[in-house]
Amino acid sequence: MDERTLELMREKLVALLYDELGDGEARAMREELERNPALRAEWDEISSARTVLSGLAVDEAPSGFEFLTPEISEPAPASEPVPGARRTGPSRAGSSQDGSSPEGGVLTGILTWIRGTGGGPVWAAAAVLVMVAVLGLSGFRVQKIAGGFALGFGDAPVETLLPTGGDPTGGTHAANSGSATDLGIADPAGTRSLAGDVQLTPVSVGGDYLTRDDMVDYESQMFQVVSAMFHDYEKYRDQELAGIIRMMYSEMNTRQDQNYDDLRGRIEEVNVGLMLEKNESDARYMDLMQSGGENRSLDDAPNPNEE
Amino acid sequence: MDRWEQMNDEQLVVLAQSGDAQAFNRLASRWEGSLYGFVRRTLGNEDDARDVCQEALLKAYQNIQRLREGAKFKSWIHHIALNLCRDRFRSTKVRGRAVSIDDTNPEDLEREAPTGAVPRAADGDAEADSLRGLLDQLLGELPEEQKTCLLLREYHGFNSEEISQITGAPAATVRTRIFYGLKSVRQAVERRGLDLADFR
Repeated sequence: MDERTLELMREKLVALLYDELGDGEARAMREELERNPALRAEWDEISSARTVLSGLAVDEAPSGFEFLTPEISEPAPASEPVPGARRTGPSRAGSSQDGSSPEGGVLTGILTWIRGTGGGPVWAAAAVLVMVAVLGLSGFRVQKIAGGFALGFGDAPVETLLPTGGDPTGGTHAANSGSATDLGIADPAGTRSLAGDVQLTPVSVGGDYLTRDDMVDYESQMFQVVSAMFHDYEKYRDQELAGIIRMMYSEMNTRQDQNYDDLRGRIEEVNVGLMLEKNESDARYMDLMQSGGENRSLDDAPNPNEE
Repeated sequence: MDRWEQMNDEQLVVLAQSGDAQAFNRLASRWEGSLYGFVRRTLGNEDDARDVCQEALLKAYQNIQRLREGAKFKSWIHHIALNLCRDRFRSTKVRGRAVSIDDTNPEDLEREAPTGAVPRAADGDAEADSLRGLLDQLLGELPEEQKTCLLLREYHGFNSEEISQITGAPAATVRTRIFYGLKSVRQAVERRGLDLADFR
């Protein structure tokens, strides 16, 4: 079997191995394999190599790979909670599972305002971090009072207590100079009796006082909002990268066009130069012909072979 | 099943060419896994593979109007990616990182290569990594042309004609490259003393 025929048979072996031959050709090839031990050896070799490659097949799909063209990415709602975001604290009656409670609305509203101040998500995230740091350093406290929130800095304010049976939305509140550790920290399971007929009723069961669980909820909401902001930030960053790549392509195309124009201009210059030189050469030739060579011809030239 | 899933590539390409960006997005998500796998195995580097995939999809998006046969979108996108890989191979930076037959000392390969048994770990990810590493080593010993043809045929379901369109080589040449690629893989397995039964 010559080399050319052998190469052809090898091609057909591969076609047979990957089912690319028609029925007739495949049958003929199998019969040839039965007759030709050398070909059979090559068949065994490549089919065993294929078994190896099949055994090493691993799914290479990237995790989280995303095509980054901004025009064709669906924008996620700004307030969409991040899947898998941490939510701490027990679930209780009176607090919404989706973070849409009135308190969450206020907090989210503030953060939405921060995000909407014209800066990008990075600036918003930085603003939140600075705010949290400032609030932490200044002894910031939040207290739910009738009709809204009371925000405070520095020393604990005068504790407001709700008398038993009193009007939970206002009514008669007794003032007491309690310590900061007593302030608004009530048993989340129910109403806590402080002294005599005075009781603290936590927000979670319809009262006015902010409990640890409420704060945990706020923390969880804050985490969700900040997570959403970082998610947005990453998305925008990717979009910016895609924009930069597109801009680079555009710049490359422009430069290519410029280079092409420059090249064409130079070719034109060379053409013009050649044309001028040709004209000058023609003119010189005409001058020569008119001045001295009018009556001369090649016949007049001396023959070097003649003595 | 949504309406996108019911559409074949040809229909999605027609929509994308008429300006439907979501149709292109669907095409991209349909083939990005295969594309990434091919590029990663070709370049041997995840970061470069991501960059090349991104660039290939962007090029496809910008040039979708030029694609005349929508059914060949998959081949077309792999062709774009292969050209980008070739560009990368020409750059010194990637050449230094990718394992290529031209710049790899065979003795180093022998020293690094596992011998005696196919790696099998209890942990699924670790096993996948081991297999991936072994495959990279085996394929890394092949010339680029053989490796490309073998990858496209074995792991991405392209036939010889399609590989011919992707690589620009005649289909007969593609089959010859696959033949010699398979022979080299077999020899590399033997050199490492791996047991073929472990792969079955």
